[in-house]
Amino acid sequence: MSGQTSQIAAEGKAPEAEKGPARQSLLSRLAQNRLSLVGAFLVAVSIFMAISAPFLPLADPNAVNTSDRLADIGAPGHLLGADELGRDILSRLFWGARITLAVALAATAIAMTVGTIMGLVSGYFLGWADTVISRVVDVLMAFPYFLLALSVIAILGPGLLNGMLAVALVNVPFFARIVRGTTLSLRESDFVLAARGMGAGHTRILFRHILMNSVSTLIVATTLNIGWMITAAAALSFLGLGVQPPTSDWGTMLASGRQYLSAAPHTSLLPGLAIFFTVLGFNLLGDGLRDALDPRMREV
Amino acid sequence: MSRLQVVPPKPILQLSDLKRYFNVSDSLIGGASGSLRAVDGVTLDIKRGETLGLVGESGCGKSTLGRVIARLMPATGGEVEFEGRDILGLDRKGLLALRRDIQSVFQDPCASLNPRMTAFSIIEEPLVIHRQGSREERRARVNELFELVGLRPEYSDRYPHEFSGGQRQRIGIARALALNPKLLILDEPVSALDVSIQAQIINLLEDLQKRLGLTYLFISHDLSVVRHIADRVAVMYLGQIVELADNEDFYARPMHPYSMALLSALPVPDPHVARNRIILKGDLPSPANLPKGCRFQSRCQHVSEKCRQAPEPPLEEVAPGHKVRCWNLADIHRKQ
Repeated sequence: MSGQTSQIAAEGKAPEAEKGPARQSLLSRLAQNRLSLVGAFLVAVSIFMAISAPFLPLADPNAVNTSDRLADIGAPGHLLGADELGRDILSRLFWGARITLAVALAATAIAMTVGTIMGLVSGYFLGWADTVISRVVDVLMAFPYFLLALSVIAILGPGLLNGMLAVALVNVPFFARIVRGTTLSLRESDFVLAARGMGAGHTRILFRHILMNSVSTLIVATTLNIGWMITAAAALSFLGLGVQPPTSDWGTMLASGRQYLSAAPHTSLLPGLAIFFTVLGFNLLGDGLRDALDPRMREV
Repeated sequence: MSRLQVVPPKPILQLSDLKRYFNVSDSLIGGASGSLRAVDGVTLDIKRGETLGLVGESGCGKSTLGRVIARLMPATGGEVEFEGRDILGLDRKGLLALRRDIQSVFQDPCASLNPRMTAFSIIEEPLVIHRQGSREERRARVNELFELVGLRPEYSDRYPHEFSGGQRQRIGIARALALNPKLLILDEPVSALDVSIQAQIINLLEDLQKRLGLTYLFISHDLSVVRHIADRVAVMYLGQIVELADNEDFYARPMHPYSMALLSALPVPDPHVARNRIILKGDLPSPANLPKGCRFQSRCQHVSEKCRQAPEPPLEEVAPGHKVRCWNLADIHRKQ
């Protein structure tokens, strides 16, 4: 592969051609791991469901049709049956994927941004900033995860946005710890010293040098975290504290199907399986990415 | 070479009684703490256009000295004057201006280059920080620097790991030269490289010095390399300069017992020359717990009662341009 690289470079091709081999090797390393391919496939399916929902000829997910109450799998007009109000489960799974994934991704994005900034500041500046941030993180981590999310909901009130904020807050310490760790080791590296010697300011050192070298760690942490976010968001919805009707995600579907578990198990089984496979997908993909990108993360 | 040039009277860099201590604590539970004297009262001049070789074993404080001069680390005491101006008390703006004049090259080019930046952006970065030129002017300057250090500009979009060790050090040198500095702190610039590559880098450095009129502080533990490149040699032991002399003078007539021991360990190419190696006994004393009197007493062959008593010997000029820190010079050299 290096022979190929030098050939490309010798011919003076565009920089895009140069970046090829590195990306290829990451993909090929990922492809060697069968489980991570399965994970990528499952993630792709759930993302496809979320994106394609408005474009597919699906029934209205909120159309109530009492004559089709608890229709079985394969019933005419309802490929995967209908729920207790006669709403098409297939359609609701597709539309629910949008909410479920959007909440999980947005919450992860919030947690990652806040946690990364906290980690960078505390790991780089040390001193009192580190003391304050590390103690806040310690306090947050001392709460049982779910109890913390519930108390945030108790303060802010239930709802889609508040549920998202709650699960995001719970995961801030996770990112803050990881980024603080990488920042601590990177701030002592020679290239940071060299940057300081050139006259680089804190912002440049933090973002161009330290953050850029934490990216692979962050990608891995994020992927692994999304699975947890989906479960947490679904759990909040299951308890009726997250998404409010008529909007529904997989968690609320699971909750409403629960009452008919013996009569019509598919009403709760299907959204449950959707959650299960999506979380499994993100976890497998995250494990694969971790092995391919950043073996050090195994200890976290 | 530059020894033959006319040297202006004022040195480019003057260190006086420069100190850098680190706080250390002995135990986990706070307890007794003291200071580790990495650099302990260094007084030294570097002349414009020369290469001053700073040698010493690891842990003697030579890298710390380089970092204090490059303002990568604060000093604990003493003064550093660059071109007659004090540089330890500079404000932000003054410090940024100083960065243009003093730059460093680090030992391990693998660690000193950001692995996520291309060679181009690594070398461009100092220009960006100091807001020099437009995008096109910077590109032209980086290409010029690539050629100056003997790299092909076509490689500028590669990442550090795609270069060999020698090429990486060339990138490090190009980065240091980007702002047209006057003084380069070369902190073991060839120690991490293969011997054949070392020679190439040394030649490059000598060539650059001639072309750009640079002054070098060349920090190394390798006396053979220093013999090749330095105009003057300073030997450091436990944070202090123990001997300072011109290159020929030093290698022909080392005066301090420590320098003599170091030089006796150099390989001699002639098998018929009888070698008389001086083996240093014991380890380097901890710079956190220095002995009273001369710092070299615990390992010195010629130690006498005077060495064990305070005060420490001063760094005295024993011949023109040859300074040594030892009480027993007369005795030692009469015996031989």
